[in-house]
Amino acid sequence: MAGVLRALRLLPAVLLAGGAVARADTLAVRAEVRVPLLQSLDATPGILDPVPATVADLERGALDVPEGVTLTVSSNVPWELYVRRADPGGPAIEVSADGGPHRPALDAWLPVASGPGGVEGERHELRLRVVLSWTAAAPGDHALRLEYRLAPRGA
Amino acid sequence: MRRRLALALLAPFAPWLLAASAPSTAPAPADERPLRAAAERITLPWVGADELIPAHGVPRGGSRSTIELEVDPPLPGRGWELTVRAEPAGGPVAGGRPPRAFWKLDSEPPSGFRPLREEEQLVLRSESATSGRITIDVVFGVDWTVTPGRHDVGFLFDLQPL
Repeated sequence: MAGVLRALRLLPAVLLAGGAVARADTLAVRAEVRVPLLQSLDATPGILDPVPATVADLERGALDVPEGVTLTVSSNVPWELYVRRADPGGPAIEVSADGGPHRPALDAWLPVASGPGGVEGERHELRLRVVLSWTAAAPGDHALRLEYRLAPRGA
Repeated sequence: MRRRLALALLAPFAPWLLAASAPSTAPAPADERPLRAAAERITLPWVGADELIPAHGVPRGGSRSTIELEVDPPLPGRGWELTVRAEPAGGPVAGGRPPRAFWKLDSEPPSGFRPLREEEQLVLRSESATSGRITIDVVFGVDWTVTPGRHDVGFLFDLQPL
């Protein structure tokens, strides 16, 4: 009998709950964006101070430019960094990237560094060497111009 | 015998009892839902890398849009609480790491943007049984680790009575 009474006592609560059913709800909203390929390259300094060649440089056959060029790379895809000589008729130049061996910078793009995507402000140091000889080094000022290129790897 | 009698008395009310104890499992028809969105898919425009790269974790401009919600009290005479969380399956469609989604109420200042998480975050609590329209500002924080392509992030809203 006690069970019946307990059940009867529950009835008002059950009736109340049934009369006002909660309509809790969930909802999904999707937000979309299309991210393009992003790459950024910065070279500092843009202009190197002039360096006078000495007899010792001529006898050694090369003049190492004391100041290096810092190339700063940001990319959201795997990338490759290239350099080439901008003046085909200018002095012969060799470049060394991040302490590696010197390699001639020719008219074709020379790969000097590469890396995975997702990099911001990654720095690479480029050292320049001018190839000299008694026959090729005429007196006067000579300008060296280099071009840099950052591209998706494999592009 | 007593138990049988008690069950017999309760049986007609069992559907109500079940409905009251599990209110969120049975969706109401679309036109009766207490939580509605003006659009269930929004597209954020791309406006340039410089503006989208987050500074100190909070985006400073760029690709923004809004989510417009309409809320009715889920239980007559009672207040309600709206929460949001990131849909676990949300992420890049084209592969790679997704952008970080930030949100805030449009009434809050720009510094109020907070990252969308997989844990529930309170959007708004109404102590009274009022209906209303809620505008949520959405922005994606895109940095260099986010791969190119189409990304989408799911915002899961949950409305519960107080």
